[in-house]
Amino acid sequence: MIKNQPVSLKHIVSQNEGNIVSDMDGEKVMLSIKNGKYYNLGEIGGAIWELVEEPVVIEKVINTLLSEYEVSHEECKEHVFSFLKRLSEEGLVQLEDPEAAV
Amino acid sequence: MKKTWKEPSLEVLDLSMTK
Repeated sequence: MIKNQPVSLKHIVSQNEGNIVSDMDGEKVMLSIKNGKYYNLGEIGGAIWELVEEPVVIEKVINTLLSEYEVSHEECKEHVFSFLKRLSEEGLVQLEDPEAAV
Repeated sequence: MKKTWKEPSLEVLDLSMTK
């Protein structure tokens, strides 16, 4: 997992286990069994969460979002990078650099 | 028709029973 390293389009992101997830009024809410914290990912955060259910390259996540939402590539990329780093800091997702694994 | 984008945010509430 990366710590304090820049995220790139080539990074692979995947959900960590140990979370109870539910939809509440269009927003994704989640309880982490590991740290006892309750999270509200909101509507778009919830959409991103669903896209990373299986390990996936971040570039693919962004392309999917671009096809569904009215947003520029640059803005979407910055927001997704920031959000995924936040999820990673909370231990909710894994971020893997495929080049570092070689 | 594409949906409106809003910056995703993570709202955290600590419900830990051990702290």
